[in-house]
Amino acid sequence: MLDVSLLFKIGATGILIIIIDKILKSGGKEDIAVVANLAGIILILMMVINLVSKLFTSVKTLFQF
Amino acid sequence: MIKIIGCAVILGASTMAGFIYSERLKYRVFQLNEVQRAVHQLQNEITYVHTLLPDAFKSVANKSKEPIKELFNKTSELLTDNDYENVYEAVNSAINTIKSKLYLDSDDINVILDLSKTLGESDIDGQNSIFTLTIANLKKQIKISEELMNKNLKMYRYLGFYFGAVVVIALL
Repeated sequence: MLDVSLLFKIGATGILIIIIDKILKSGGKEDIAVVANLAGIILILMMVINLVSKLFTSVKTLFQF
Repeated sequence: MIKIIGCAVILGASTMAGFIYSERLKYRVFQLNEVQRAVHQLQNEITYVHTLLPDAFKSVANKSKEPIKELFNKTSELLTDNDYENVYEAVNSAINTIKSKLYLDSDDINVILDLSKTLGESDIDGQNSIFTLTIANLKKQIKISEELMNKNLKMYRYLGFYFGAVVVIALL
């Protein structure tokens, strides 16, 4: 069973990244805002990468005889 | 319990880092204003009192606040000791010694160095025109730095806090 805390974590990170993006854009630093967005995406990807790999292994075991 | 304390420490530290970084912008404006005042005083010393340059630097230093005080004091000492060939080298070396205390960027320092290139090398009229130019340049730098401060002061503070929040959530 998937624990719900991961979903909340991803949601909270997303909200914070959006706020950081808004602040940076209002300060006229668009290029840094892009980097911050990328960092947020990588951060969230690192959170879910375990689950993704687990999914792949379970799919693999499904098709093995 | 330890987890909560750790999170609070990270959040506090990043918020403080944001505040400290934003203070730099304020210090730059303050120091530029101080330099402008000091240059006005130096102009008075040279134009009306006809003071010798090392003494003029010394007397301006006595009326200034740190770290501009130290800059002028150091320059005065270097000039009195005859360590350098010209004023430019003395000012340059004085700036390098107290660089860690100065929050000025390279453009601001160039304005000061440009002034020092002509100090003591021409008559009063020539020096006066350079003083006028320097003060105009300083005013421009102050305007730029004030705009930068107004725009970025709050941004750095908020960013510090939100960056800490992201780190806390990632670690949680």
